[in-house]
Amino acid sequence: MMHPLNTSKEGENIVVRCLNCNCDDTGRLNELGCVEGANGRILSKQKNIILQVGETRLAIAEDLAKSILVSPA
Amino acid sequence: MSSEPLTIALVGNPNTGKSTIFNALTGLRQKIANYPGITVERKAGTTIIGGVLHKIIDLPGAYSLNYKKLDERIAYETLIGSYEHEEVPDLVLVIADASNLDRNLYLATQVMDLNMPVVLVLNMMDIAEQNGITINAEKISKALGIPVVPISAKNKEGIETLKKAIQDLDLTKPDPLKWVPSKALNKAIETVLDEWIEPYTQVPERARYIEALRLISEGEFNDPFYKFEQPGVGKKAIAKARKNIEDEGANPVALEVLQRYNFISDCTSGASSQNGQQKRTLTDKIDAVVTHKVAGPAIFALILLFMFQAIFSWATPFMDMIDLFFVEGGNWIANTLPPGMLNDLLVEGVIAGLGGVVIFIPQILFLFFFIYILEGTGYMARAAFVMDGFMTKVGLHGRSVVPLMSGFACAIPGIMAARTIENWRDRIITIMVLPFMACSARLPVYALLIAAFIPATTVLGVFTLQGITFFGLYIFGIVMAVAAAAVMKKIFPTGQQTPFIMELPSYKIPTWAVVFQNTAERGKVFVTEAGKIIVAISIVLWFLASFPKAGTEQYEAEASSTETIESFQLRHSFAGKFGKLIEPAIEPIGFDWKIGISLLTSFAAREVMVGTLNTIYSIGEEDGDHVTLKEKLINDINPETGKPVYSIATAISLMIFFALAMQCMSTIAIVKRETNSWKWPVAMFSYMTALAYICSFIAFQLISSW
Amino acid sequence: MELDLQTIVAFGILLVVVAYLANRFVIKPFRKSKVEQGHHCGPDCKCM
Repeated sequence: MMHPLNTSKEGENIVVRCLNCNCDDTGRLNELGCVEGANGRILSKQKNIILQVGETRLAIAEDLAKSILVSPA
Repeated sequence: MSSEPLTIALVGNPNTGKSTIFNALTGLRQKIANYPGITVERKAGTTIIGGVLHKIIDLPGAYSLNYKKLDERIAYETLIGSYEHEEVPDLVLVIADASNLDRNLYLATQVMDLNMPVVLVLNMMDIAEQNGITINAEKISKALGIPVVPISAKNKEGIETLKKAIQDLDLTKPDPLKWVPSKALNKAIETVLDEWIEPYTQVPERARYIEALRLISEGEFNDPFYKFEQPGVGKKAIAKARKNIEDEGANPVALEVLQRYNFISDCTSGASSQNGQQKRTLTDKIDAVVTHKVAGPAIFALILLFMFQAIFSWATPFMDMIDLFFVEGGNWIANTLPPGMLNDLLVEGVIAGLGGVVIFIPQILFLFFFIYILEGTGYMARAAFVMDGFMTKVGLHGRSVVPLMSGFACAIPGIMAARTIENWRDRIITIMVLPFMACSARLPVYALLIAAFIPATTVLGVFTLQGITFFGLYIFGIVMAVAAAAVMKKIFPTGQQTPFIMELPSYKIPTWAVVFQNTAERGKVFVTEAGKIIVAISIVLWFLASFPKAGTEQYEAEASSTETIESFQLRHSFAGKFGKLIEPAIEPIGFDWKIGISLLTSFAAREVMVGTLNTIYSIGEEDGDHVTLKEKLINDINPETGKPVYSIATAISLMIFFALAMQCMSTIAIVKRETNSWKWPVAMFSYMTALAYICSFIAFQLISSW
Repeated sequence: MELDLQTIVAFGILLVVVAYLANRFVIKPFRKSKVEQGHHCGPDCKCM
């Protein structure tokens, strides 16, 4: 079941399913390896989130995290 | 390889050790940035390979050729040969982080699409090994069709192999394997190429394919990078290409990315593997603490406190030595040269002015040393993450943290680093409040006044009152910046927010050679750039403070009984008259005419203040009676009142004025350049200086009456 | 004021310094701003 990234728990393994943000943000996330189908892990979750995709650690703002749909890995 | 000299470009994602490789190849000094996007400056150097001298260009870090920021665009323009200030590269070294291979190969495949000779350099092999990642460079080389060289630049491993790979490369046959776009994407590329780029643009041949992909992904061209004569045709072609993709059920924004990653995944499968379970790395463990909701900001504040305490305490012995050196040097020149105007100019103008600059080098070196360590370890990006929530609340952006932190060193690189903030409103607010951050130019003034007027009482057994005051001034600057940003947030329209996305690099021990080199470079820049101006202004000021000469008869007739002839001479000089003229305006904030002269000259650059005071207080000194400026300030007596010129209230008022006033011509010039308008620098100068006056007034009046 | 060698050298230094300051703060920035016209970042943050 898909859910917004910001609702994931710390330590959870996820799969990125859908990026619903605007073109610029989608492009930037894609370049950083956060593409649909990529496996990730929530390293830290406060207001913002640290998501590990591959070997990349991404700090993502809460608002942006709301527009990224993920599912449990 | 041809025996002709080549231009070799280094390109790679931020934090891949590009600068370290550049340093290893060229031996030249350069700036390292461990924070994504901060490597704005281009660096060039030379290296000898096989007896041939080649030029090396270190291009700004970029995640892809789909540039979003100015620095990325410069990298792109250079690679495709259309950047007017740079030679067209003959060879590209793509630097990739071996511990994060797939992500780094994204840029590599884009560069390969430019049909240029490419060597893939897998850096940080040691970190990859530590993380249990095994890479078969030969297999990746075969899969990509380009030479692949594994190295560990930090440990200087593999540099010779890299040089040999460059030497052995056949430049005439760049034949990298290419990813094959899907049918739908291929058709879209052809549409944009045939209907727009080839017939209507001057996009260089090698860049056409990649430019078509960029346009399809972005949906339109919105900057006049190329002089498009018929933009309407281009927009139609792009829309048509995107529709083709959408009709096939795909997303034109993501299609290229997905297909590239599929290609990369095919290339690295079997060539790169991770041993065992994903274990909790050291970076994970450190991040759990330093990015913690409560501990994170507390650690950030502690780091700042430690940094400023250390700057103040550790630098003191060196400063005392320099001070003594200039005092003794001044005495020696005064006694060696025959008496005369040149003697006075050298001792009271040049030596005093120069001494006022050089004395602060230890503190500036310590400040930059800490900043480079924070960058080099990867902590800067965490600081941005930790502070983003707070920053957003006050009208700034998480990305503002790095420009603001850079502002501790100097507002100018900070203002330039604000380019990484994509949203105009966030960017302009960051620029407008950035000069409140206590830059290194304020440091000499703070250091002088604190050392002279704040007692060195120990607090909590570890800190001194002087160190805490010093820290307090930095915090005061931050608080004022935050308050000003909060006000500006209400004034400026919101517009579209740019969300915070940032890569957090792995923690690593900084490359000490680079930290020391860069720190020394900053010290050199301070002496050569600021120093030249300070010494020049000191000389002019010495003349203004020495002429017209007041005679002994005039002194005897007009001076009060407590006034010395030197003080009388200064008061009657051009500078003295000017200081007296503005004295009524600055008296309410506790300043006398001597401080007034220093304030005026410090509008050129803040650090000029100390040189000016040094010059003013040296005028008329007898040979051999040179004492330090600190002592002169403490002992300065107002001849009219008979009281000390500098009280605690004056010192605090002066420090507050310096903390808030916009006294830097270079900052004003850079704000004008970055905003392309005089509106912002004028507004900045006006509101900051007015605020400084009001706050100094309140502080002086309150403390005086207390 | 007597015009001895020291005075002449001192005023020579002053002349050089004033020329340097004029070049640094007046002439150079003026020339630079002329050259840099045509490249700036506008409110949409796209470089023009």
